[in-house]
Amino acid sequence: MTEPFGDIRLSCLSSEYGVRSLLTRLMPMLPDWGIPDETAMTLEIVLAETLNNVAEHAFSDTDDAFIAVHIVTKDEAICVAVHDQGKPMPGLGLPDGMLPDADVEQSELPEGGFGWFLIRSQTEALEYRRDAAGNHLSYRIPLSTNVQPSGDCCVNFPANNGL
Amino acid sequence: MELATKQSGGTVTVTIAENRIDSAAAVTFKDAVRAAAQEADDRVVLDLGAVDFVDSSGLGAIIAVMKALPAGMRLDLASLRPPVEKVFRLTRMDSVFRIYPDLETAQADIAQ
Repeated sequence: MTEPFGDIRLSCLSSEYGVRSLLTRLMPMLPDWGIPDETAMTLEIVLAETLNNVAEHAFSDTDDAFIAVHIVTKDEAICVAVHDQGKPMPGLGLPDGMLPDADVEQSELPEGGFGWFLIRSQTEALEYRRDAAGNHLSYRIPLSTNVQPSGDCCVNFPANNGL
Repeated sequence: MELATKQSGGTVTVTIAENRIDSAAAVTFKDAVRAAAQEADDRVVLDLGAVDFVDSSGLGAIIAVMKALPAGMRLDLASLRPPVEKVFRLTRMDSVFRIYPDLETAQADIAQ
């Protein structure tokens, strides 16, 4: 079995429709990369949440800015890096992402607060950095199948996942 | 938001004809389904068989539709595709809704 491999840079406008457009361009590529369906589903939901957060909060005042995404498979995971030049995360940190309580009366059910829970619960090595160039968010999504590297494979994968 | 409604007894079945209930679609989804649900007496069945993707905004919109229903009226879900089922499972909202594998099963449950 060959190891899943893909490396792509995409960008989208900082609007809900921009985010949708990026996801609908990306998703059809993943089977060709050898990404298992379960991992692809996880990537779509986590990427949707991260990009919608950027569009909604970092660029709350414009739909015409760019969000840059770099996705590369590496070490049995999909590594995602998102960069934007919008406003910083409040407090320069990431929200906790506690799962809202579902065990409540129907009228008290949460209608939001799921986004950061989905991101935090489905990713590894989640990091946020703010510098002069803007916001940098990165994380890994492990491939859900156990991929065995083949013994005689000598392909060198890109070492640098930075944007 | 493209949808089709069918009334049978006190139940209105709302079939969503678009493939994403995402951040861009959440508000129009909520308004359209709430309007369709007004024809129901005791139950709304939301048929999500055509929907490939729901994000947290779409999930919030589905929950908002349920919360806006009159007391005693149910919102049940049918035909969740794997990515949609996954979001309900991860957020534990699969414990809040009755989820049927297909419309036939949902409708058969009315008769009981």
